[in-house]
Amino acid sequence: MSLEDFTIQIEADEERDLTVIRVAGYLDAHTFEELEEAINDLFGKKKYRIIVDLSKVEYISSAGAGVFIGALSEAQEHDGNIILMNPTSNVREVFDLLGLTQIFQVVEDQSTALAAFQ
Amino acid sequence: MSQAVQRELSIPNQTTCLAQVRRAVLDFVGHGLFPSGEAQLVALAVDEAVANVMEHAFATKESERQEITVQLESSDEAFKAVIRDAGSRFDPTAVPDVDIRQHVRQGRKGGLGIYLIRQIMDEVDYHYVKDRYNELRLVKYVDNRAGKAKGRQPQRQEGAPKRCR
Repeated sequence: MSLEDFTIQIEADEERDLTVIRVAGYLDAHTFEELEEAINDLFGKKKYRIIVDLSKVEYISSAGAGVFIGALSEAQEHDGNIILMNPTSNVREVFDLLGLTQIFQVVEDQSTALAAFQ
Repeated sequence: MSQAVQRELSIPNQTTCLAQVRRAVLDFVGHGLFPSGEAQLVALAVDEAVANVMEHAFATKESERQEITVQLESSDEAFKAVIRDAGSRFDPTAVPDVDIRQHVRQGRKGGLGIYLIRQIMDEVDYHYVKDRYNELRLVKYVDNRAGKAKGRQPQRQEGAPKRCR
């Protein structure tokens, strides 16, 4: 994967009223808007229960982390949440530096993420 | 700094070029100056500094042709990055530290970049040369790993790519 690559994949779980966003690549000031738009689209459809799979995110900058910071309160205001799943060590270190691991639910796998929405 | 090694790159004011900046920093510091994880953080700090310039100093689309210069320098003692731009005056060091809980409550995102830079780098200094440029200087000390940088030959590489893709 090159330093520019970035993809997101959205999986709807209608049965549980959940959405899983699988993010891969480099989440920086160039790519964050794509993720921000995806989350805003979900909010527009009243989808506020979101799991973000970060297991394939190689890099995150403050612009990328800002997407989650900007969205969390809106999700929670609508009885939802944004759960961050399986971040890579690079990403977790940035979350730690920003203090986000104390604010977001950061889980290791999808079953734990699903249980958090029970 | 003794045994200084330098590299300078000039990039257009386009966020697609941030990957090139990160790659340049990783190439520069990733061969023994810092351990891998620390090198990644140093690249992040420089990325944040350049992204701040793109967002604040060059805030308009018309400025895409403007260039940002990133000068990298290392010695046995430290790594230094100097970011210069001829955009509007913007002092990121004047931005107060964020209260992350308040940011989340209010959905605010501003100030996160300089907050990260302060956490990663040992020194962050800004100055403005009137009617010429902003200059941000970031320094990270090598601590006890100075020996690993010894033996590197001084070199200077310059380039001014106009596009990053």
